[in-house]
Amino acid sequence: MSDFLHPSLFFLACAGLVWLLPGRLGRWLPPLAGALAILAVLSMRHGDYAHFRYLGLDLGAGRVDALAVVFAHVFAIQALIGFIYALHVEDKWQHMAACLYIAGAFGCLFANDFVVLFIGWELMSVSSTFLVWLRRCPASTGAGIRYFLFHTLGGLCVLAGLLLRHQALGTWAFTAIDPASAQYFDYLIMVGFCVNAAVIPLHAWLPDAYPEATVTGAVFMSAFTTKTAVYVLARGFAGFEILGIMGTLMTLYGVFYATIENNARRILAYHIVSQVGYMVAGIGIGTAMTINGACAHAYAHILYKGLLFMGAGALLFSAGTAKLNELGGLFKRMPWVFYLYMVAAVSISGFPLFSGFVSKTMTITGAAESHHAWLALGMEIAAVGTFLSVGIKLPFFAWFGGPDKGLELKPVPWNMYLGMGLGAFLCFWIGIQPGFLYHLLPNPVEYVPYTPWHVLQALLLLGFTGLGFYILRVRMTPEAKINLDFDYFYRLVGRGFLAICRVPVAALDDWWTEFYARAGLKGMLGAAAVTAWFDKAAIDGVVDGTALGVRRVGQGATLAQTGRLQDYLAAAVVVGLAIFALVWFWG
Amino acid sequence: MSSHDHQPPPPAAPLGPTAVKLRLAMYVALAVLVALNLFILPHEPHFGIDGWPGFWAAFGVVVAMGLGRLAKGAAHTFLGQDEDFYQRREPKPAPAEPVAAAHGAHGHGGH
Repeated sequence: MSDFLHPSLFFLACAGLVWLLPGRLGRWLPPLAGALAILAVLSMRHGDYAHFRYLGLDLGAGRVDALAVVFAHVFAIQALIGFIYALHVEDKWQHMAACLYIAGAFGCLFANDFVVLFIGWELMSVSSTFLVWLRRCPASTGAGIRYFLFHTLGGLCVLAGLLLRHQALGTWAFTAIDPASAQYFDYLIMVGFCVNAAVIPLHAWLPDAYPEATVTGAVFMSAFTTKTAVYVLARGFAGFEILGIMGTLMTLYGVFYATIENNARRILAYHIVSQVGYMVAGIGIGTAMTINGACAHAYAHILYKGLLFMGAGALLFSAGTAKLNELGGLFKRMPWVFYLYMVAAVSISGFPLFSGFVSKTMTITGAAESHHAWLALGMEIAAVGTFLSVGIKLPFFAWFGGPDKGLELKPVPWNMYLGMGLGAFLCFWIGIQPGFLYHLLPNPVEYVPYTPWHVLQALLLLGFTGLGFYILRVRMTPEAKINLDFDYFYRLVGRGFLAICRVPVAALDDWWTEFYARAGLKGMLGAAAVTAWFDKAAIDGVVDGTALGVRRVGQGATLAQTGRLQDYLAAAVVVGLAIFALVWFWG
Repeated sequence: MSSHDHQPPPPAAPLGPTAVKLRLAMYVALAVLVALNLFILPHEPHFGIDGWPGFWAAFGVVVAMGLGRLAKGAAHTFLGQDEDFYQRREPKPAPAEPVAAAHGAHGHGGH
């Protein structure tokens, strides 16, 4: 086998094949692509590969080093687990969207320059939008449009930054940026990355869109978008103090909302904000230990957050709702979903023997040892909130919390259990064998997680958090409410834009329609009469076939105008890829 | 507005015999952890008081209760809204123009 085989190739090929095959057959291919991606990652060696010249630019799509490999490792594993979990889905568009999304994520991981990075970045943005839309309900359509608009804004920040950077420095290379000499265009790129990392206040797309995605789409999205952003921040912006502060604020902000949310998948979405906060903080602090902590936590997080979304997705799939006030008392009828969910819940909470314990404590200890004690304290507060909301509140009110409400349950397919089982096994395995994870990290690891004090501190913190919940358990009862967040302001901007369209633009449109009806239309009717005469007198009999052809084209164009943004976006992607292919071939 | 119609939660239901035993087990386990904390202390406390026995136990319960009360308080006063909050604020679509009238208004017939 070659020293480097790009994992994106498997997923791109898989997307094409799934498109060609019927849904029943095509759904078996993506797990195969995931397995091949694992083999490709395990067999690749550090180095620079896949250099090519395109449109006069020297580009590279195969930078393989320790930082890229640790993310690629877990991306490939989670792709396999996610596709096993999604094996029962016969909608091939969902599989195609997931394949393209993962291909984009791997493209970003191995990108050597900003141009290749941007292509992968945008492929992720478009394809993940479809993972929201393909749930095919009004709520997901609206959430998908907001998601896409916000990510387009983030992508434009990256694009503007990289173009200005090239103008100033004459390079496309994606390398570490020194905080002391960072320019405005570097900060523009950082803001674009921060959109995808859900750094507050740019985060509200995440709890808005993820709960509305397909059951399986949310599992993929929980793994790749924010973690790709964490990777690019670690690659380019390590040591930027502002990230350390914003990351710690994210850890607190996420658990605050998770404590009061009612929808299980929205609770988990807010928890992504919180958990990614640990990673962003570790990157911002920028020591070898905190960078290691960020990477280790990203690895562990992808596995347990995927498992949490799989558990909540199984609830939604089976009971038809993920709202805690409508669930409750399901333990006797869904015990295995509960047990598997709890493995992830104790992992994310940092219980000894599970993966979060060996990763989260590394970041917190690193922050404290590098004299960022206040940031470490903030992260400890967030650790309490994590266990309170995801470890106790969510499972308590979904599986216990009173008598069974008698919801009709759909059987959970075997493949969903298998996906969850694999995730649970890895959460436990990393917890008891931290060396498995530590040997992948970019810097030498000096941290020892299993000391008597670390274990006792974790048990004290989490045990007494449980006591706090017990005392407050009635007050913590979920309510059928939503909570306002920064998306309130995004929507205000959207409504403002609509208002502009409704009043001045509509008035202009009315005036133009009137003008056209009075002046333009009459002129055109006159011209039409002249050409009709000319047509009858001279042209008929020569080009009769043209009229037929024009009519057919017109009919085709009419059919293409569905009025649905998702159709236009898909068409734009197809046309874009076709132009890309043509330029590639003849360029 | 939902923030004004919040009702105080009903009192907790009485615990069954199994739950009572579990609660006792929890109290015993927590007491054991605090007792262990008398002998096992942090290598390098970062604030001074975090080296005291029982600090992290108190931290856990105080932060959990403080966070729960603060967040629920915010939800009940200004953050929490009815589930259809945004749908109610969507601008209502304009009434559709009758097709025949629209057709006639432009003043051109078919051919």
